[in-house]
Amino acid sequence: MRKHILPGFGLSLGYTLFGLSLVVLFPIAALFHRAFVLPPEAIATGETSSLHFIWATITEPEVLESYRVSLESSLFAALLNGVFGFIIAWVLSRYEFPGRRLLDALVDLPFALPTAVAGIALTELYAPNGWLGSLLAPYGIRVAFTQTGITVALIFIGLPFVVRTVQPVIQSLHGDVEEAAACLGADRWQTFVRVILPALIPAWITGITLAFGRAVGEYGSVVFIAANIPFKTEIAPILIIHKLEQFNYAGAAAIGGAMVLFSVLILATVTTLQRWHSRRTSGHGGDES
Amino acid sequence: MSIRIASVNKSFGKFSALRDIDLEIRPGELLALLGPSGSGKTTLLRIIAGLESPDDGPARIEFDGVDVTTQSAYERKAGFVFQHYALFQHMNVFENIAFGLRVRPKKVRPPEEAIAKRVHELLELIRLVPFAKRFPSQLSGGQRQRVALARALAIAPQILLLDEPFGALDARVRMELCQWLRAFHDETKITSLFVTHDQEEAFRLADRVVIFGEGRIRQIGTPEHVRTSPADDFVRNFLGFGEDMHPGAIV
Amino acid sequence: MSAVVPLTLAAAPARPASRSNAARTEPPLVRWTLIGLAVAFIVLLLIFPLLTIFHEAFSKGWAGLRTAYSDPGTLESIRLTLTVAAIAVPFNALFGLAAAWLITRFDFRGKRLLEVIIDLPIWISPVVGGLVFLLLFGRQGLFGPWLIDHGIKIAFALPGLVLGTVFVTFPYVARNLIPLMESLGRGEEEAAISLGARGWQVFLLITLPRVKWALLYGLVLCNARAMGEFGAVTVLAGNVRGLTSTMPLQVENLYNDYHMASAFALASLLTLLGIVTLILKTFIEWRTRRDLAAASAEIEESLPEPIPTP
Repeated sequence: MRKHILPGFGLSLGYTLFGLSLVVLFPIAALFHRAFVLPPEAIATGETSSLHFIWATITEPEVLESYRVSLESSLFAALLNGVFGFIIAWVLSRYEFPGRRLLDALVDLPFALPTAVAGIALTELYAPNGWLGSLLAPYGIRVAFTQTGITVALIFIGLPFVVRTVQPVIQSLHGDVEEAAACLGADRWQTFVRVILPALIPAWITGITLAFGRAVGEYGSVVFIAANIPFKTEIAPILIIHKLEQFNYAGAAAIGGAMVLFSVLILATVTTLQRWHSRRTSGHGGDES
Repeated sequence: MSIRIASVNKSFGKFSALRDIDLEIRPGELLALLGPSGSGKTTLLRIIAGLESPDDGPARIEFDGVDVTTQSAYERKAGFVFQHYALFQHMNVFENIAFGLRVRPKKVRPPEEAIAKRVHELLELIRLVPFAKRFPSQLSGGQRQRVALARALAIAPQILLLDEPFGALDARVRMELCQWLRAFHDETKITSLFVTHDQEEAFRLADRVVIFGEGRIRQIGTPEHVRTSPADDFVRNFLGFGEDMHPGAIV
Repeated sequence: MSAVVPLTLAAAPARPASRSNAARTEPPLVRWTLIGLAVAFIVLLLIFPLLTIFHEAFSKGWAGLRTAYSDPGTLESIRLTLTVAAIAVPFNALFGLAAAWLITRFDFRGKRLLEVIIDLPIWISPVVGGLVFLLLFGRQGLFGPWLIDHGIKIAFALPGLVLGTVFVTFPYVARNLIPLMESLGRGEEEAAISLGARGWQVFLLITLPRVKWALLYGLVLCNARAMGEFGAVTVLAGNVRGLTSTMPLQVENLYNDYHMASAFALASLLTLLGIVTLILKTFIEWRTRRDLAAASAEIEESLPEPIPTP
């Protein structure tokens, strides 16, 4: 093995692994371990197989519904953020207008704001007597305490992910490619669709996936506006809390484990996407012979 | 195609890039825009292409007598080869070259077979037929340069504009492309302008040389003429003739 | 390479197209429509909630605010939040520095896997983040009985809150440092070593000064997320209200009890924290940009002036 030139390998490796193990690895292992320990109530009902118990828990009707609510809302929110996030990233990177810098800073607000604060603010805003809720009520559109409200909250927290992923790529586009297209006779729309967009697609998809993955596990922003109506507006994290309140630790662990597996899947997808993305942006033009 | 440029000025903010430029370019000539960095030559090239507009005022640009001053790059359709090639990274060589033909409005767009034929002709011209399916990132600098040229030529432009075409290449490749360009020009007689800061190149290739300094044209003439009778001290210094050296003397 | 965390510092400023260059930008109508859409979306989605928070906080006037901020439960929650942050942030900072040094200054097998694992907490629901520690240290947890025998309380007490917070904010400092240290390269540190400097000297005199802004920003961000953490602490604080409520939990308590003005008054404090975070980010980006520009200007002074291309 190559000798390391810079010092501190042992120390930094040690501390890093210590931190990781203590904080991340060991606890998550405990999660999976606990999922396999049958709780007394389950044994009392004649359950003997941990695997069967886990499967039964994570496929309970209420739990399944919560997956549906989480996944549906997260997907819709991520896609909407995909559209508007793209527009915002484009506008912030390419155009000058009064207030641009302020807008740019604001995009990160959902990330800097505590989730519970966002949650109660959105609920107040979209409740039937809130500023926006009361505007929509006459049209029969109810936002708070419905799945629509959950989606709105998820749009709120997902926006920075799309914008901040696409923005750097737009900024790094070389203008001469667009000029080349114009000289060759492409109008602006053709240039956008054939030349600019293909360069942005990997980052765009990455951003949407990030927003999606983040939305699925979101708790604080959602729990207020959702009102946790069983089978209608319960998200998966809520069910974990329900199980805990019933002291069904194994059940909570089972659902938690399923969520962790899903997170790992998303993380793997994003890592792959980013590798695709960085391969696409390799090199521009000729600076070598 | 002949080009006439009159009273062109261009400033970027407080910086004056071009001042009172008057230039006539004869049909079919190969013209070099020569000068040090920052002298305005690239700016003028871009203005001719339509990528920049001259400052408001008496400026006038004519292609074959037709006033194109207010036309955009999209309308002028000059064949432009960029300094860093500006190839479309996500398209292969074939698609890059075919681009200009494929984006034509439906009414004037040639059918795919005609496009493929034309691209193939160009690939033969630049001797890159086996590379048709390769991507720009898989090509060497010299190869990318040739693809950029072919791409510009595909739309059969009336004028060819090249921005420091050989700048980023090594000496041998540079020599080859230089000779190739001269031969190509002799055969097709397409009006061509190229920007360079390398006087060797300019003198070797061009029919006439335009020397730029600090945003103004200092001298226009054939390579021999400029060498034997430099117009002023600037030209003399730029070409490397000292004050007490006579131009034309063996150095 | 690992997942992107928003609010990592951007060094490149926006380059707006010059007005005369039609080949590089859209016609004015398109431009202004897009700008309008973007602004409308942001105002609707982001600014309205912000305004709501402050509006509700002031709904009972200054007197209402005074009452809110002098409530003992609220004050206790502020104290608790600050305590948790004071422990969690330095721990994560140390970890972040160690991890960034490890990943950017050495090559070894499994490095990429390590990066992925470091990122993991961002993707896991904060509720799960709290759950895992409950399962370890709760009464029915793995170490539960042992802890009870020894009279140590972790879950439903300060240590538990700290652990949950640490878990959720774990990657933030590292994720801010790694890209920067990666792009800065090892050259200067290796030069220092060759001149005879020892490890700690290299770290303190060479590395830290160059990453000070990214580090500062990572700390600020980590702190904001730590103080605002909700999901994990909900699980770990149990149902013992008032005893182990951090600020976000206290906000929830007040809200559920319909003390709206008080809830939003406390929420305003947290919002101000968020706004300060954003201001700091803008400032740090500006400073970084300025430092980069100054460095390249020094180089450019020796070259003839180039044509400014828009």
